[in-house]
Amino acid sequence: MARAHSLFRPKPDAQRRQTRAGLLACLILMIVLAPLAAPYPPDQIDILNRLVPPGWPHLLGTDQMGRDVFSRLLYAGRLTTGAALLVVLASALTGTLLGCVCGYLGGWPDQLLMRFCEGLSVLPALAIAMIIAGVMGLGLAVVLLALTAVHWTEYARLVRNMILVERAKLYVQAAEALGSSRRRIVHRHLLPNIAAPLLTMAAYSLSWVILAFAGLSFLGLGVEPGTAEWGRMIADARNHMRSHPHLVLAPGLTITAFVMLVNLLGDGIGDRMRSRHTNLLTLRKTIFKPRS
Amino acid sequence: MISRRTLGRLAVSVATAAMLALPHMPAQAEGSSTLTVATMWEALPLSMKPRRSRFFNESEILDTLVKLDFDMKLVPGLATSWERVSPNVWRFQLREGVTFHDGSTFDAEAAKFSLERVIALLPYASDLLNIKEIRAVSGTELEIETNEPFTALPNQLTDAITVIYGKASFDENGEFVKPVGTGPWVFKDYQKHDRTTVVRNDAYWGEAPKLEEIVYRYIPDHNARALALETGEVDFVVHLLPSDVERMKADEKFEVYAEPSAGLYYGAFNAGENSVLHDPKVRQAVNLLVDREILVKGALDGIGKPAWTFFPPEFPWAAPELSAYSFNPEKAAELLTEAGYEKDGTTWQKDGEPLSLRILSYSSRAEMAPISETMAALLQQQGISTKLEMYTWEGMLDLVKQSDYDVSVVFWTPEMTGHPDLHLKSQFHSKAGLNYQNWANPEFDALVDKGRTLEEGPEALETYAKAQEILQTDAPIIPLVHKIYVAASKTGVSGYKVHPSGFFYNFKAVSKQ
Repeated sequence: MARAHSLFRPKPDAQRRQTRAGLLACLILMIVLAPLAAPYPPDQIDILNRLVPPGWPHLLGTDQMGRDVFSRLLYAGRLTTGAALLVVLASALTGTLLGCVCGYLGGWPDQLLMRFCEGLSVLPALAIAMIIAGVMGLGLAVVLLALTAVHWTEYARLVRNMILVERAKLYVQAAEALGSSRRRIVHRHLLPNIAAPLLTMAAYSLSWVILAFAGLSFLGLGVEPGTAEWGRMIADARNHMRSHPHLVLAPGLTITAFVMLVNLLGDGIGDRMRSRHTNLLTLRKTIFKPRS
Repeated sequence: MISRRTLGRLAVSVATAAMLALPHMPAQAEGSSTLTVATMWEALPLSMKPRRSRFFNESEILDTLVKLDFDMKLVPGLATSWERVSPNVWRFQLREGVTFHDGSTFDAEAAKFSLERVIALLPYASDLLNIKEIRAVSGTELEIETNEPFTALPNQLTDAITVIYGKASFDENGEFVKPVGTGPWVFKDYQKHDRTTVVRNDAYWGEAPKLEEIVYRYIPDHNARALALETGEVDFVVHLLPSDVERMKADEKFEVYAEPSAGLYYGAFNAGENSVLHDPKVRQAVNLLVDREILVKGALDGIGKPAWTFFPPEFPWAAPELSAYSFNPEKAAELLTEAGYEKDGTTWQKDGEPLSLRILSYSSRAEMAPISETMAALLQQQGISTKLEMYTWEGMLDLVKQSDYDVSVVFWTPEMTGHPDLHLKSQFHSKAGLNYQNWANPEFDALVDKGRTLEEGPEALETYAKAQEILQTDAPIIPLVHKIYVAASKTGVSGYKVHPSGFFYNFKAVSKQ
């Protein structure tokens, strides 16, 4: 917890930030520890106890199949956030790699790839992901792949542009003059210097991917009907929306809260980065060494 | 910012409301003579694809030669009587003095022209009708010669795709343009993705409708459709969500109609060699492992009848003594053991491979997802693993045609024409065009081929009873739910009754205060 707090510099609104970080940490902890925190197995059907209103022992009631909504929310969080993290990681790695290549090498590969990225980014990402998933068939892997396929370009463009800015700077020229290899320059000098904006971007992109993934699940792509997944839970509860609105509200509000907190985390990191000229080394210090 | 946005939305909605209201001003001025109906499917009156031509029959723009009454008995339509003059020939006496909406006369020539057009344009029609030749003997006498003795013909002529089109329905190349019929309602207007309007036919041969005009609004979303009734935007809603039934029944402002109608939700098994369901024992075991009572409750809020046999027991042709299934895990376990499976902890396995079913369905009907999901969940509870995938109808059919599935959960209306031939022949006969299940049973084929040649009577009943017994024991399907048809209206709308065929609104008897 101390580590999470120390990410934020003590400011007048530090307390608020700590609350947010605390909330996010709680949510993440509950999601990670779902098997311990959840009172019921997420898929346990009990038709005789269907559509029970919120109360005890079913904190958020049960759904149309008699499954415990609270337990499902927690397990769903594992699936949704886990999937989103995978997509962010894959996109960031692909995007950074290709962005570095483009930014540092330039020339026709750069031209080609950047035109491609621009082409992709003028089209609505979610629609493209739907088309990809539609063509390749249903399945979790397909949706993850589709989201990565539309998302990596954001990273590639960011990294490429920042590399262009950085490589004109004196320290890079000095390293080149000293005869450092390209690989070493990118690895030791360029990447640490662009890490901060990249991290900020990752936080925002995580919230986008969570929304997109839940959206695609809602539309019936990705996970099977009946799977504990936030978007899918909303879709499954739609038929009972009028009589039992909490079945839709519970996953809906959870998504909203989670995405907002992740966004605020992104803001926090962004502020922190902008306020000091930070590179990866100092970032590591801020995260891992509690400030006095 | 927010207030500006709200204002903007308000402006848009006011403008939309004004636009919607304008063309309706005259109708509203006349008061209550227009009934607005919200439907799940789009009417598509400018196409005559088989599924869509149902609309012409249910809205009664067009008439069939023979009709079904509310007890599913054959009654005169455009034909007043019919008899089988020789084993292969049926003779129909046609109604005199009937004119099409464009003023042209309905006679035997017109009926012959229409049926021949239908058979030419809709491939499924020739299978259904089994017709060799149509002859106009005189102005009011139509003779139909079938390829073989075919007793089901009058019943098949109640099917919506056999509606009688006037010549003006087609262009000079014989392509369909718009519906011109003899029915109590005249097609007036169609707006894509929005509405189809029909007006009263004052020259109708039967009792004229009470209402002036009916507007069929296309509202595919189930919640939006119910909401449209609650806000007064429409007067009548077809296909209410099961979860809305109790709530609206309790509300005095609405009248809810829920009656059994033709229709069965069932899982069609892939009996081909690439599926574990190739083994009849496994198919029977699956039938024993799904508790239909729980299924109807969990998936449909109890709005449906648990189905343990293909035809509901009330259907006149239903076999009286059928070895129906019941929820029986012990017997299923025996069958699975005989089939070479063993239960390892909680899952059934064979040679280390778990018994797993790939279940497909389609999402355009709101009930399909919950029914399939509940069935899958109930099977999982009993140790059979499942993989459920929802597609569009076409997407699902694609996989089914490639035999790339184990179960496809579908909805059909086998009792729709009042004769068992319709579905047994077109879906389960090994030569049927719609049999994608790789299921072939020579004995069943022989019975179904024989049944359609027999006069209604004990022998025919027994033949179809045997066929149903095979369907039950060789189990190419798992019957799940017999449909209960649900509609709702404002109070003040009277005269509506659910038609047991499920494809007939009969709004000519309806009036509105």
